[in-house]
Amino acid sequence: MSSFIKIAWRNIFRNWRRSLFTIAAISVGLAALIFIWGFMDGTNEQMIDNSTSYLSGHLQIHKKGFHKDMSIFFALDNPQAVLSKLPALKEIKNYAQRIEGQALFSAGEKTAGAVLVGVEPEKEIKVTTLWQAVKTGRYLEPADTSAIVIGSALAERLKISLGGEVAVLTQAADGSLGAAKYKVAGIYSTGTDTFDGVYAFITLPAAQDLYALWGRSTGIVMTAQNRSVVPRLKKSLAGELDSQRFEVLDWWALIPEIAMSFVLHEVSASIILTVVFLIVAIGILNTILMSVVERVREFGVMMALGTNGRQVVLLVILESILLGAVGILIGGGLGVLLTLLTGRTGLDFSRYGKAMEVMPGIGAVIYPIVRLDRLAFLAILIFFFAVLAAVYPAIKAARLKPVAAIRHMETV
Amino acid sequence: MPIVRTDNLGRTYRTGQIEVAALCMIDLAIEPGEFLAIVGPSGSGKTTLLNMIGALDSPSHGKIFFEEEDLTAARPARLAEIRLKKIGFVFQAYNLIPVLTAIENIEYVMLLQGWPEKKRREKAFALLKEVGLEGFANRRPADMSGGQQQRVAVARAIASEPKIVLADEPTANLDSKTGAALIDLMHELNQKKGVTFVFSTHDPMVMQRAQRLIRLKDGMIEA
Repeated sequence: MSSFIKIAWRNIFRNWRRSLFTIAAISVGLAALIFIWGFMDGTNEQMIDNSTSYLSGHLQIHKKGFHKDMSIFFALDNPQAVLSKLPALKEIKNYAQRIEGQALFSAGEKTAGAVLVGVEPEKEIKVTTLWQAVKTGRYLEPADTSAIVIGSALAERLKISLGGEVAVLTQAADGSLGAAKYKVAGIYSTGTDTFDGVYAFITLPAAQDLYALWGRSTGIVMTAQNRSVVPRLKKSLAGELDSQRFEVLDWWALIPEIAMSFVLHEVSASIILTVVFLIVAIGILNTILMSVVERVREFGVMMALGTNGRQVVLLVILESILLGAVGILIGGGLGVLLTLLTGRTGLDFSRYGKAMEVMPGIGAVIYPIVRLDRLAFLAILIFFFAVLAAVYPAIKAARLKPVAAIRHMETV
Repeated sequence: MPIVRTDNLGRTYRTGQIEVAALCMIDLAIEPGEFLAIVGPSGSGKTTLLNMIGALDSPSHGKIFFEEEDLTAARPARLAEIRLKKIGFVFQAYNLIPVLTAIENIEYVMLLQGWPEKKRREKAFALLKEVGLEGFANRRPADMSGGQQQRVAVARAIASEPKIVLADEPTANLDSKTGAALIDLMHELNQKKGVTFVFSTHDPMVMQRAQRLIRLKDGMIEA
């Protein structure tokens, strides 16, 4: 065996041009697959992270029925009772209370319907990242009673700027008409008009006053330690809370359009990756097949000298294993390097800004990511394919009579 | 006991619808220590017969025995073992393994036989010296002349101390001087070491040196 490994190495080194082609086919193919998958994963991650981090968080607890109607009449009666259960759950990273309700906004002669969200600023900034998207002015502070932060698209619709006054009219929980005036303290821009035109933020106490929900809230939003523990955390919360009275919703249910986009992206990724893999596989198969075919005469000589068929197959497979390993190392390195590099600098698609807007949660700059499970899967897949690609022609060559192989009378 | 014996040996090739008989009704016996030439014009079946004797090809009919073992009944792995342990080959086109150096080509058969590295290296160097190519150990086939390659092929053929060396027109691609030197070398090995040599040739110089001639014409032994 070790002698054949030596001979295999010699074949690889001394036929460096042929080896280079095979290694190039494997490594370029693998690098391309790693990058493409990394790009798609990066897109998905960005979409999910942006969408969950701006508003929804990973999980929310509501009074049962709130999510369906988003009605102020489904506010939590005693949020403190729910809040008291949360510190014991280790999977929770941060949480905050909110009041969410629909309202009519007006400034001057302009009016627009939007969602008004009352938040606890000091807690909210640990749960969501919208405060980082404030481009003009500032985010809310706990003491604010008449400050509002609105999205750039809503500001545009209302023709209002920083310091301007917005009147809000809504249905209060006690059946009265809630009305208040707020001064624009900050204008945020996430880059997604469908988001920036819909949400406005005031402090929780201001929202409690407006909606007549003193001491109450419509929900608790939280982030998990990481996204992978969300299903477990959801189960734990469901166990802690009465399912007849409360609903525990994960980001998948909170933002179904993102969940659908995620599924769509995964399906698209599978199709694209399959097509790319087939192209790569045909390239590898062709290179390896040709390298075996052009050596049929050499195998014939080896068989004439007493090398048996199994040893010929072993030699070809060993060469493929070694070439595959080198190709995988180089291709893996190249793919990871390229993905990390573009993951750091980002790939700017701002010139296709309008097209990007139709994909919720995705910004103009995509940051590809490297996932070890993907890397391992692709490396193993390509490696086995490269080795398998050599087996068939090797077996065909080994089955030839030596005289036929030497004369190359038959082809594999 | 003859090393090789054939019994009504025949080989037919099919080209499309046409069948061509390359060998027909061959009965011969090769004794140990012979220096034998199979002669005849091109297409007479010399190479086909050598390929049969060397277990590189199988007959269409008849039998071939190597030390009384029926090669026509042997499995491919057994044929490979016989070629490895009992037969040495020298081909017309040299057929050295291109990626291996001269010394590695000579070592190859010993490597397959499982000789320890040191022992096979020593033997390969000794053989290289014997064929007059001491300074060519690390040359690859592409860097050697035809005569040099054929000498390496001879050294490779006798490296594993086979019972018989089969040489298919070994001088065909060599000039007369190099060809004569090669035949001298093989004759010397035959005389000194008792290696049985069987050539196919239509070179009169080689025929002159042969102990016995088997003449082939149209695939049959001439009376």
